[in-house]
Amino acid sequence: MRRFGFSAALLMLGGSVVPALAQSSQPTATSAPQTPGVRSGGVSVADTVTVGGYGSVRYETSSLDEPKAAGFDFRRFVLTADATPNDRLQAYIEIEFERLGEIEVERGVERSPSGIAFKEELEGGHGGEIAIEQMWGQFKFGDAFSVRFGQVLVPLGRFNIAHDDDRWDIPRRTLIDRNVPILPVKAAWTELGAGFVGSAGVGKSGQLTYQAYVVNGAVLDFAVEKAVESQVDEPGVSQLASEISLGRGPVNGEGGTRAGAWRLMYSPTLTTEIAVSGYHGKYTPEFLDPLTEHINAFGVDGLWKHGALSIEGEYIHADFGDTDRVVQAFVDTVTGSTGHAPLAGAAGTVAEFAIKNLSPSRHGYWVEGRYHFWPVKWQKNSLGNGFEDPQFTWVLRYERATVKHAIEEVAIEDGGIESADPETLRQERTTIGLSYRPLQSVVFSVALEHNRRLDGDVLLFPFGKISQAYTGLLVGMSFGF
Amino acid sequence: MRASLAILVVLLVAPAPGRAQQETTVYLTIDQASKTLFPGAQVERKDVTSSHEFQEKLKAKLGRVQPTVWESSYTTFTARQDNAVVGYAVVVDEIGKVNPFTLMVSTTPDFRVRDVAVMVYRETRGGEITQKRFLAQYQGKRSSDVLLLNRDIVGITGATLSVNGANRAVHKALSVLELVYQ
Repeated sequence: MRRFGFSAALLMLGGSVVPALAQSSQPTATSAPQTPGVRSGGVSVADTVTVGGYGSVRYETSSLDEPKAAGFDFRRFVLTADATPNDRLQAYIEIEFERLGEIEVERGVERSPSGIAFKEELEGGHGGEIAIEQMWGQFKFGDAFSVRFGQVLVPLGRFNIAHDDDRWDIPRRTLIDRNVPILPVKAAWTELGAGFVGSAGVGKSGQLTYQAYVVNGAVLDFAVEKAVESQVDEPGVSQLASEISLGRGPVNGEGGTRAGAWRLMYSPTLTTEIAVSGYHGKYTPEFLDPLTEHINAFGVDGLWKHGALSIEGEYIHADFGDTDRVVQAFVDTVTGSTGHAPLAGAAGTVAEFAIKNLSPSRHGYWVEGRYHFWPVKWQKNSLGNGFEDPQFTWVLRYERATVKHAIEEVAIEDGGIESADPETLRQERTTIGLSYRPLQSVVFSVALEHNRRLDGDVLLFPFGKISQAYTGLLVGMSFGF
Repeated sequence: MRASLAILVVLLVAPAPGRAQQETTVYLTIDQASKTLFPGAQVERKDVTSSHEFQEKLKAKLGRVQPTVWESSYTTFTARQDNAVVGYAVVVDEIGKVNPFTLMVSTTPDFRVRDVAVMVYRETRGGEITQKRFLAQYQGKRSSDVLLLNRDIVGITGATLSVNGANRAVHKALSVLELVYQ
């Protein structure tokens, strides 16, 4: 009560005595809690629009038996725009450019005396991607209740909704949220839908925050891959492969609303957060009807701080129902329920149908401890000079991922159906790192990670490698604005 | 389909907008304000021009801290009870992320923070710093304290820039009051 009165008194006094700068603006006694999913920072480009973003690059080398060459990796650049035409209305968008060097499409027509040729060429970088990570509008009824509509981050666990690279001190995302992933779709996992977000005070110092959405939902989707292959003393081979795997849901209105996602976070004090979350929905596509299998995923995560020390962690369990039925439905669909694979095509051509990375159950966790420090005597050296609050952070992360009865691939080609026996794969990773932040939004980091295969014949990450263990060195830089 | 219906039902029973707006606008008379700020005390206002000389002294006192808004004057208050000073207060501005916010910091007679309140907050995000559980951290702090994130101030995930702004603002407020009244 005293606090309320004091604040109210200040508001009243503020109307008459605030300094010139405050008086020049229209004083509106408003406060806007952090909106879940919206990154802080940015540059104001108009009264109601803020443009921001983040980017990150990494150098990586490892002791893998068959390592990829050590080199630099353009992880991603994300551009954000946040428009708030009114205190209660907000629109937000994040556009991601990931590992993207270029995309170039060329088309042309060439006419000759013997005929005509229509040509189309697509040139692109290796694994490049452009994606809309978020795109939503929000109407705020009050701090405790807002309605959000659009492409939203699925609030399963805490990493997916706080995945911005400049927030983290290790230049690689977590095993269970990105590399394996245990999260049904690798972070950043977004879905198109609608729902509610809000927060409310609980007791003297507690805070309850929630998100709940209905979304189109993750689905087994296909991608068509093309390849041209040379063989010794043989004609070249033209390959076409259709691969089916789990991905984010459609955004064109097809497939219907399939899933729901939610998260409930309680913070009893500023130093502690604990949350539970879930995702539930059908993931089998219409072309496998009448088969219906569901994802049921649950997460528990938390954060605890004490002075310069903070500990953060997440556990996710995801169940995918009866994946044997999914495989059988796929085979039936491809073979017209005959069980006979399509015959081989003309010489020099290969047509493959495959379903990949199925598992009836996955689970995993990560725990990360961070210790922030800065030697006072370094304030005036080249690392500290000119910065108000530079920081070093020691970081230690342990992660473990388990994929039960994993089916790497069921492939149908050249008249045959091939499927490896399912096996349980388990991997752990321990990472120790040191980061330097001249500003909170800029981080230079170095990390040493040790991966170990605990179960199965191959690693989960990088998938398929047969090493028992390997060590990696990562050096990265991330910036936000 | 069932999920879609559930959303529709919750929308229909959602609280009306008018109720939320009542929570963000508060009115008090000056009499009520002064009584609440320092109950039972007489509050005397003093406007202090921030001359070049004053600013230089303030910068020297702040040292490492680099506030981003330098006001042309500071509005300060002295609270007396039975002719004895029971506290001081000052209004300061500081940049949060891209816009300034306005704080009032009140202190005890020995210049320890008694209370901090956000008067005007103009950002679209980072508003958690207006929560009393965050502002309560400053109670008892002095200008000699470091007031830094992850040291003696607990941050808020996603509101780091606003937290840093609040740290700078409180540091500046304490230094201004010490320069004026000590």
